[in-house]
Amino acid sequence: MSKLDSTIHTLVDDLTPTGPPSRPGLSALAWWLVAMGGTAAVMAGVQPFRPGFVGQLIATPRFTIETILGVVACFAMAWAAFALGIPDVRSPWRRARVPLVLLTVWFALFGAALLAPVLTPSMAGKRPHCVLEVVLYAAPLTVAGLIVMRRMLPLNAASTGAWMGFAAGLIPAFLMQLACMHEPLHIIKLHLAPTVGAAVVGSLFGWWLLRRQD
Amino acid sequence: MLSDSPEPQPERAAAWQDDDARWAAWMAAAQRGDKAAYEKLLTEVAATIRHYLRVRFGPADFIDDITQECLLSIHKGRHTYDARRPFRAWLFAIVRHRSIDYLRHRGSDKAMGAARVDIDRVDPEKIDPDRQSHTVGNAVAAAAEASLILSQLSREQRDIIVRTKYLGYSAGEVGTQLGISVAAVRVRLHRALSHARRLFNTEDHTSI
Repeated sequence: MSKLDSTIHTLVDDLTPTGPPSRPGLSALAWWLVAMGGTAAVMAGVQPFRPGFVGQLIATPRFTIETILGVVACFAMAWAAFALGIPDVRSPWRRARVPLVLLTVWFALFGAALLAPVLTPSMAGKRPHCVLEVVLYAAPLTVAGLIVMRRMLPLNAASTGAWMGFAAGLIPAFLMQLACMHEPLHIIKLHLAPTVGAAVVGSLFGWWLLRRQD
Repeated sequence: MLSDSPEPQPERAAAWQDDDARWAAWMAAAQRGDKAAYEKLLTEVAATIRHYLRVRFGPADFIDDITQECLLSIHKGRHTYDARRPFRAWLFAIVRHRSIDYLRHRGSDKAMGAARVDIDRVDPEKIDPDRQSHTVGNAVAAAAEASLILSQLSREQRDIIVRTKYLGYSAGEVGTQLGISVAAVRVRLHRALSHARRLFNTEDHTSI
């Protein structure tokens, strides 16, 4: 009996029913809802959200659209990250085309706001360490997401970690729109830019947590 | 069932679709615990993977090792296959990643040399004496260079992969042979394997 035949027999003997196939969308939804709720609670505990943000959502349609697009883009990116747990010959970039387009549009709104601010720029609600908060809150979310992904079959540990880190970083970055001061340059530099750092940290976590599967 | 052509022929395309449907059904049965279906699936898939790798890497001694790695990954990740999706796209994503990962992590301490090489399986038609003479100088190297993946790399990249991964020389030994530093060997090897991964990834999986 050849080595491969022997391997096949061993694997067949080891076969047990697996139940329904993994659904990355469901995993992403569960993770995202818990992550969003948990992060919002911790952020509110550290410092209350910006006073009057609910009123701004109601009174300013552009801000409402920006917020809704942010929610959709953040969830889409989480979905794209979890989808990496399912082997597919398409590259991660190709698989994440729709989330990336949504994200680009969302980011572009802040670029446009540099010329025509959505809200009157204000220091109201300023959080002294918002940039650090984004990275710090992203770290445990990344680890939690990667632990969930260990039950799937992510093929590229570091790359999967980077996508998960980026998706995790977007959650506090999005919540900062409501919790921190609203000024376009501040948002780009101190809320959105740290998501790149979260992706780098995520790649290290991915290498650490997923490499045994890689 | 098997193919080494980058362009699908119509009759082959139909065979591929038949394979895909059959494998998807067997995997769905295996997910429910059907051992007979699983054995048939793994047996057919193992043969397909071995052929696929042999066409792309030539008569290397690591083909069975990579095939085994792939089977283990298929087993470990069988719950991630959704029968509503093409089986080949799922399968060959695993095969491509495991192939390159295996080569990346294949140690040079397995100094197999020409004696460990599967000479009997070398196709003499694929050996180019001219090219052979200016690389590492043996039949396996020439056959490996003629394989689908290595033949698309630059001569320098082919050479570094053949010396380290096929003939089992350490980075230090290759550095001495080529008159370059160990770091330069590692950088070249990293680039060569990254290029090989890109070639894999740009391959149309429907042509496999």
